[in-house]
Amino acid sequence: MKLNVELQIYLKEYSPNGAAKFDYELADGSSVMTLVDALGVPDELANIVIVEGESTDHAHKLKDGDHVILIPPLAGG
Amino acid sequence: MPHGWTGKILRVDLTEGRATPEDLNMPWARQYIGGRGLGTRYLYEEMDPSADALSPENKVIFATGPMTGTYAPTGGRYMVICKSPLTGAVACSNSGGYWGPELKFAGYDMIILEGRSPNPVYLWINNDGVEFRDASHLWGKNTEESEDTIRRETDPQARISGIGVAGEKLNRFACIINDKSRAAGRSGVGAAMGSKNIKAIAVRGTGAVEVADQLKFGELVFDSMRLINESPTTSKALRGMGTASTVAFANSIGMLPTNNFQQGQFELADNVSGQTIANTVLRRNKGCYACPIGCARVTETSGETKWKGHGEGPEYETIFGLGTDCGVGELDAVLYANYACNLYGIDTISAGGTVAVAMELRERGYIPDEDLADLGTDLKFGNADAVIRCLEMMTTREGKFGDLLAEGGYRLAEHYGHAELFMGSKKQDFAAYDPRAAKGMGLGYATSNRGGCHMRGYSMKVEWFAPMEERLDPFAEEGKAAALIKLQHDAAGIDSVGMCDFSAYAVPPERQVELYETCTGEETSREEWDEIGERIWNLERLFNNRAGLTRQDDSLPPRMTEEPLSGGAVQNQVVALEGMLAEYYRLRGWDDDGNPSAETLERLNIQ
Ligand code: SF4
Repeated sequence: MKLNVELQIYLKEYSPNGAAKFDYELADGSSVMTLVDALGVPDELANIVIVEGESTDHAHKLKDGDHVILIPPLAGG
Repeated sequence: MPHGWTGKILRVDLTEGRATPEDLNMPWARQYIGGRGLGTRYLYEEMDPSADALSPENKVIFATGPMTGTYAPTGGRYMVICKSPLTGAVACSNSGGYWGPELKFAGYDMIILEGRSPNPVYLWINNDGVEFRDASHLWGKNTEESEDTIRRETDPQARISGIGVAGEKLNRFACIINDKSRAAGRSGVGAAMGSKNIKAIAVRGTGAVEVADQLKFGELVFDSMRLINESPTTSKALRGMGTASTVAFANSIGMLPTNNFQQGQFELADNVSGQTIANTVLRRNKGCYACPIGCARVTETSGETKWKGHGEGPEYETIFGLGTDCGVGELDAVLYANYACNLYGIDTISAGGTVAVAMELRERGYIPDEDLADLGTDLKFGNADAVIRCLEMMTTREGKFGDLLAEGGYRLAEHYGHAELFMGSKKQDFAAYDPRAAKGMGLGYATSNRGGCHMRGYSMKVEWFAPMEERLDPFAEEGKAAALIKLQHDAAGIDSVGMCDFSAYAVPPERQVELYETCTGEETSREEWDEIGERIWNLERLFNNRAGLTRQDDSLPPRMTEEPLSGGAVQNQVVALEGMLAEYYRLRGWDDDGNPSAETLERLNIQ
């Protein structure tokens, strides 16, 4: 399946092509965890996961065309 | 000299032009840590909370913590405590930079400003020497010109904390600026200073702060630096991109306040994100005294638009206040507005909140044309020129509309008959987190002792930013009262000790306790630290209650409790405040009206 992935802030370091937003192929039935591992992002840095606008977790099963955002630990202020 | 302290405060009677050193009340320092807690203790003792915040009866207290001026990481903070001209509640605004340590080096832990000077003055503290100097030539000058002039007139190494024109004009959300761009930003502390006719306090000190156990303190500092360097939040997010790193997150979730909190997503968010700032206008990173994080950003506009300038910022809060919440997505305009606020001496959050509510009032037809004759542009969301023009008008109180703007968003909205459109609590504008996407933030805004604010228990920490397995459901109300109370106490602790709240992402309260112990030589514990936080919180509450605030002031506007957001992960959410509030009062040991019970006060040893 093909995913549309967005890596926020410094997670961009793990982008396969250096861009923060990119398309990514993954085997059908993969979870967010599979994606995180495939990109080489340390688990704890993929701290907030948003799939299709919904906040979710690493076990979430992905489907073709999903927009996936990974966000590291942050602080605002 | 007590360790961690100079042991002296400076009492400044502006009416009489007299400055008198006094011993620091050490039992209070022990009971309230320092800074915010200790300053509030003095304020509570010395002023009638029902007095007018702009009258000579208000006191403006500049307070450091025991860690201020040591080499503890981020140990450079000072706080300004007074009754707030904006909220009528207690104000305590915290700033970094270098001024706080300099005050300690000059030999003072705290300054208490009293009365009102008959003429504009500034104070020049040069170690033991204290002078009142005429400031009539500085009146009307912006913060940068004022600082440069005072430095020329005193010492090239003097550190200066003072007000801009907004403070002179008693704009109710005027701030105090030190080191040109660090702000004690919120609650109108700059107006309180302006009402006393004092433009600035210049300080030069050549002393040092002694710590009790040099060796152990040094080891703890070293190890705390390691924690900061290992934490992704402090070393990567804050150091790498500053607080602006939060823009993209908040927009993805749907909690980035847009157009006066009418939406939670902004179509131009990418233009003003941390990433865009880093790629375009960022010149360098900057840090405060003894800070290994360095979250501050020095920026310059692109040069390609009519908005030109350079300076510090923008923080996430400023991007929201002067940008998204006013529908403005031109980065240069946001930068320009940010620099202008620093020069005028106004809080970027409340300035933005005030313009945002003005825009909504206008778009709904509640502000007649004739009131806007001097504005010269359309008061509508997305119009950056209107934001910038409003900033000028609110600073100088230009015309009727400028005068209304300077009163703050609540009074402005009330004037036009629609106070419900003001997005804040206790007349102070919310920060950049829509509470419909983090219910604990809603309870935090409502119960914050200084009004709408994210620094009085930052519930985002446990609702969104904590490790996934420890996180609370941001959309649930359950459990938020207990979690928030703990965060409120933690915030009171870090403020009072004189370290930056951002260090707490890596340096937990347990470590703050150890730093405090080895710095002051006083024994304490994690449990006592929490109790002191609770004591401070209750003391602030007592001040507010005596100032006339009630349960009705622990509230949110109907937009938060009745109007669901659409878009993002926040669909159909509103804040069910009442249940959380009742639970909060119960857990705090307060009665149904929000008054601390006699037992609570006795348990906390508050007299
Ligand atoms: S983290 Fe930022 S605000 Fe805090 S002390 Fe460091 S530079 Fe200043």
